[in-house]
Amino acid sequence: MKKVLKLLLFIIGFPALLAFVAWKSVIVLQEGSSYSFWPYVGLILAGVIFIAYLITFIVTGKKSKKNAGNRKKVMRQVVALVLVSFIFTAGIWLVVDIPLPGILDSATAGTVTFDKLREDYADQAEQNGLLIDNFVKWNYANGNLDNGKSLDYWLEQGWSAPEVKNLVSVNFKSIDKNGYVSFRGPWINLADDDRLTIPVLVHLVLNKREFNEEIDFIMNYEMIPNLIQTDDNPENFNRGEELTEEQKELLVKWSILDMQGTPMEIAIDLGNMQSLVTYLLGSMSELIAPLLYTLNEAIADDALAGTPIYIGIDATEGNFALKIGSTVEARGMWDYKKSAWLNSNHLLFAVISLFPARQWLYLWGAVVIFASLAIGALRLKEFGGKDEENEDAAEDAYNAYEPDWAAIDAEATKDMSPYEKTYYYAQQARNRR
Amino acid sequence: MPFHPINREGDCEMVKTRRKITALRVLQVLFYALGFPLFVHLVLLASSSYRDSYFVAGFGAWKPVIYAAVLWAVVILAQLLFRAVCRKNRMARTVLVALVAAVITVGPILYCDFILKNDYESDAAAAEEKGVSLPSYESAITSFDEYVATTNSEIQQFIDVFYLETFGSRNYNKGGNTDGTLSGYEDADAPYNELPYTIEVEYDAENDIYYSPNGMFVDGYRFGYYAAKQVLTDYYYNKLNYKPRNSKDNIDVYLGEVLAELESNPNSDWNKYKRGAAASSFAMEGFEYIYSSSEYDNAYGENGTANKYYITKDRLDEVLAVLSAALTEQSGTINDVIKGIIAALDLFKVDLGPTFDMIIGLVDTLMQELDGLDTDKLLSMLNDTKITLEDGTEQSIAQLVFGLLGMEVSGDLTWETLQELLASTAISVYISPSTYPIYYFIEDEGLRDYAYAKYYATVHGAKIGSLLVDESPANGVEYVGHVTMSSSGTINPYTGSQLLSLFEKWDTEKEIQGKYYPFFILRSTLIKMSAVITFTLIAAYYFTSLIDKQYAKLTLKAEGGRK
Repeated sequence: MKKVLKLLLFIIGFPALLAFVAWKSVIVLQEGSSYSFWPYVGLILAGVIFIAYLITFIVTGKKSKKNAGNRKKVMRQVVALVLVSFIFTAGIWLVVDIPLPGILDSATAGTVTFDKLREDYADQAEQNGLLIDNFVKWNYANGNLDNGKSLDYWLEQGWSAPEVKNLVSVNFKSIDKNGYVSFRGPWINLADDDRLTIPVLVHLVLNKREFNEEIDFIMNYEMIPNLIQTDDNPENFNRGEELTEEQKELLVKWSILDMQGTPMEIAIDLGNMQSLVTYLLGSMSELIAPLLYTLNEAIADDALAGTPIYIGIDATEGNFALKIGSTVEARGMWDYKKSAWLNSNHLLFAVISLFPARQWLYLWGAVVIFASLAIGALRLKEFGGKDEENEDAAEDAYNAYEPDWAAIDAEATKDMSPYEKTYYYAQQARNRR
Repeated sequence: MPFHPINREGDCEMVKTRRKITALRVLQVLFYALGFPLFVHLVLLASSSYRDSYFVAGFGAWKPVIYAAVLWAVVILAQLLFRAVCRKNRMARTVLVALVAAVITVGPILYCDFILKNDYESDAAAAEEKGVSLPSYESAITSFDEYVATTNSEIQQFIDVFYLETFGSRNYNKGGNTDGTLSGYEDADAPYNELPYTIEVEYDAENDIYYSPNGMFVDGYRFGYYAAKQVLTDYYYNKLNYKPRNSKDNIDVYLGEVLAELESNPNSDWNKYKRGAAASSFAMEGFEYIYSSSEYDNAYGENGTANKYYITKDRLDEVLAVLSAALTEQSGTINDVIKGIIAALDLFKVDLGPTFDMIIGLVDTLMQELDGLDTDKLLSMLNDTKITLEDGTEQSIAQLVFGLLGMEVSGDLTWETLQELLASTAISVYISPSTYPIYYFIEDEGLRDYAYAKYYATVHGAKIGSLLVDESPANGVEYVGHVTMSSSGTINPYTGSQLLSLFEKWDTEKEIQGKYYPFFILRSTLIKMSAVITFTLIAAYYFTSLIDKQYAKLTLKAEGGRK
């Protein structure tokens, strides 16, 4: 019976905890399925902790059995088990939680915060899962990934395919070294912190930057954006061009809009000119589009931004807006922040996977500690033998009429000779019987 | 020692005594905890809103709690002292400790009500003279947390309106500021010869401002509360107190004249500075170069360190060359588009008036002169092409275009005026941290403060998306703060004079909060606690004496085995 009880208590402790961690890690494992062992790091850590606990559990059990009868020694095993159960659950995290936010902040340059991951790791896992999926889709569309194989094949392979891994790392190096790193403070920081003013934009476009000519960028096919989006032709891209070998060798640079990713839309209220403009866009789009392409090519000149910034018109659904777009999607990339995440997505998945483990080690820690104590109590009962002192204390606590004989005896015999003591105890024993 | 058998009755008695001792110990600790420990805890709670105040930080925020702890410490010292002095007479000790506790707890209340009250009231009267009304002493000592919260929310609104970084400022930039780390030249004078050289940034902790060596805010410095307050004070104080010389005069006109004089007079200090004249030849007393007499040339001369941080004429020429080549390639299409637009306007019977004619005129002229377009050619084109307006007056395209942008051009547009326009609208401006700005050479102190403040509020503020003053409000509505590509900012709810009085109010409140509120917090808790503290301390002593009595019984029993 005791064995069953002990087993039950053991199961509701760490094994249950491990099961919860596994359950909560499912989303992380699914989203990061192509990142080999990285999304399993949290689960592995919980497993290692469990093994450490299990070893303690077995060792303390064996020692208790070995020292059966010696209450003090058995008690020591109980204390050890309870201590280990605390240290390996909440204890470890109370310590890790001190440096972790700082480490996370510096590792991700403040883009992934501890507070965000603490409870909302599932959402972060989904976001990071999307990073690789969309990256594969875009690069399949622009021919960077072999179209001889199906898109589903590439999506399934994900980061585990060497081609994808190479593409992520080579192309990130370009957006990093010939993009983000080439900008200077304070301008880039102002843009990053929601302070992209006209002066900041002008400076980021026109300030001289230094580029690294050695850095490659893999691109076979350039998607050309649809610069006049109307209800008849609302697509983001309307054609593409196979790049020549010469074009492939050209240095790829990145503008500030590539760092930001999302296009800027400046809505213009046309009022009663709406029908006129619609008419003009309808009748003259073949004339206006080449003008916009030429303007974009001029912007891409080294004297200006050195890379295209797509200025277009969005006239869909009765709106009229100037759209200033970046090249990232056409080049098969995310904006800078997400590209940086994607580049170290395996590490991010490892970090994210820690959080279900953290949450449940904290949450279930109390149950593990209780289970350990309960198992310890059973072991004490089983192997601890009789503890006179404790039993007396217990009796004393519950029976108000029974005096504390041991204390009284000790007090009374304090100054007695051995002979007197013997006599005293004999008399007391008789009395008390 | 004779042997005494112990009877059961006596044993029971002893156990009872021990239990009594335990109960008394609990009471002793409980009553002690209800005194000073509870008091310190209550002060900690009562001062939580004070700790949230923007005006107290660090050590200052903990003043009330520290004062409370000091009171406790004094009583502990007194207890130790009396324990040593009155070893035998327990009653005397209790009375003395109670006296100290009473004095220590009632004293601060009396200090507040009889001494601080007078100080507070005279400070309030002085504030009243400056137009700041403070609550009465009686209100302040009871509702201090409400006053702190109100001031905090006023300041939060100020921070939100002007989109300040937070209450504190920020000077964090990737790879250092543009003015923090720059590429230098090996053959240049120090510090430009160090590659890359670093320019020291000086932090003024009192005003929370980071300064460059030229005495200006560093590039990309984001205003905190104190910096914004300083800039707006300098701006509005000088603007509102300026005495116009005639009906058309204002401080901006005066500033324009002074700056024009500094620029045009070849013997002005500004021109001497640009030339690198000997420091002793300056009219300004005690003038010194920051690094060397060639510092201006090093920054703005050929290959100067500053040149890559703003649009130079060479840079603009490069841009125009590319644009003109692109437009030449498409000139046929552009003509077709213009024709198409004119036809469509006829079809829809829309008359766009002179603005449209002006644009068509500009495009027409531009198309004819595209070949070899550069800055000079563009400027002469803008100056020479005239448009006759509806009222019959004739204006150049330059005047019209810049007029539409809210900038005024008097006479012909030159490269210098264009540069000024680009700078004053913050589109392209860079003051090297290693050179003095022209404002440095303004003699009139008030005007100089105003010139700096105007630059920070409008140009620096516009760069960092924290515009403090909108100098050309559309339809009289001033948009300030977060003016960026994606946000049009906030309508300024303050007038200049309102801001000046608010600053006066906040300055006074900062002083009052720091000087009086820790005592008011202490007083509010002491009022409720002084009697409790004295009583519980006496009670704790009483229980201690009872415990001692019980111990005496125990000792007796142990020795004698009976009562």
